[in-house]
Amino acid sequence: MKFVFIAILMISSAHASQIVLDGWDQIKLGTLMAKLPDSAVDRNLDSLAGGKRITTIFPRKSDAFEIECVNDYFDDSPVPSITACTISLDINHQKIEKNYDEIRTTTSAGAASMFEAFPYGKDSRSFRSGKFDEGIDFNGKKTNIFHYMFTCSVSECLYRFSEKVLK
Amino acid sequence: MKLVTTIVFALLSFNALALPEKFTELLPFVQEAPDQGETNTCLYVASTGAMELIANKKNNVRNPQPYGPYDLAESFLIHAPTLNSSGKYYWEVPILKFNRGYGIHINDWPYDAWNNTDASTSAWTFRQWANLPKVELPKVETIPLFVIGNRWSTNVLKQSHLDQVKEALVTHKSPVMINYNDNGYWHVILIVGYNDNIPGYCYELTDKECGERKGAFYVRDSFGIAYELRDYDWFRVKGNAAFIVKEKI
Repeated sequence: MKFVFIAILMISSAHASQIVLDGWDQIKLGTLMAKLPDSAVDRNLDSLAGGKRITTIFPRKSDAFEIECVNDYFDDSPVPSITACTISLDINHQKIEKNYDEIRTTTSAGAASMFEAFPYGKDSRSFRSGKFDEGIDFNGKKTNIFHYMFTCSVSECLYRFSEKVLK
Repeated sequence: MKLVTTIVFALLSFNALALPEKFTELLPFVQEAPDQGETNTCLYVASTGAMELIANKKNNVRNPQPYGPYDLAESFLIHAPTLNSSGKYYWEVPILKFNRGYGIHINDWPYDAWNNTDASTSAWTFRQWANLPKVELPKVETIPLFVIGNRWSTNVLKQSHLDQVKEALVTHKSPVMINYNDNGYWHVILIVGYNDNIPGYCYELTDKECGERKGAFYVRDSFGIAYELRDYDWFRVKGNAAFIVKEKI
């Protein structure tokens, strides 16, 4: 029984990876997730001592990736004091496209909501990780590495995750 | 002399005690900042944000949306000639350019810090702005609170400096522009509120530096979100300068 459990755990681990996010990335992503409407996310509310905890998962339907943010609010603050976000990738998902330095997936799920949540841009808007490594030498090519970057129109979003920072 | 010192200390103490536990009335007027990316334009983004806040508040524009009536072009402050910098600190000069009585709307002079995955420097590209439509704005003034060390100085502030910032917010009901050391870079942002009773992000601090995590400033940084909470100790450790930016009455 124990062996079966370990085997199942190993198989699921092989399919799921997480993007590394520093504290600032998590604040940015947590703020974005808080702005998305309920129709675009799964959202749970729990009470905390002196505050509330809101857990937000995007997108609502299981996809090639999942963003989960836990925001803790205290007093009547409109923004969270503490934010913890994770981005999980199903790297074997059929929609995942891998190239030399990043993993991409496109989806229309929640695209309009993401577009509205991003602050600036006319037909296309984007949202990037605060962590930006410029000119990384990778496979003999200088490239700029983002931990994540989302580019959305109202109908579709392109999600790009840096493979270099996968755990 | 001792009596005078005692009275001054008592007044200062009373003053500190008189501060409310929180000040949040500017938050509904904060205009979301663009993501400045690698443009090195923090001073202009912060200065523009201060004016946007003042104009939104004056005209009761609550929860302002991107491209709202007082969403202003950061590039205007980069390129407009200085009006009067005599006796002013470096940080104060850009926002005083608005004392022409106008700015340019972001629709008419977009701010693009990124070109797909590449950093864009287009914010620094000059354009003929004299004939662009103008957004009428109130005149503003700046009041230095403190400037200690240089732009990269850390661990130069005390609790009394934090109280000065809080008192300035409450008294003037206006944003405070501050300079701090952000991971080795000097960086200018706005403090737009505070709450003594809630924690904030420790931002580049060790657990020891961040202390008990009680009390936080609401800050408007230039990374594509409106504002977030940062622990008081973040500013105490990393900060070195502060200025009130207020409407000139």
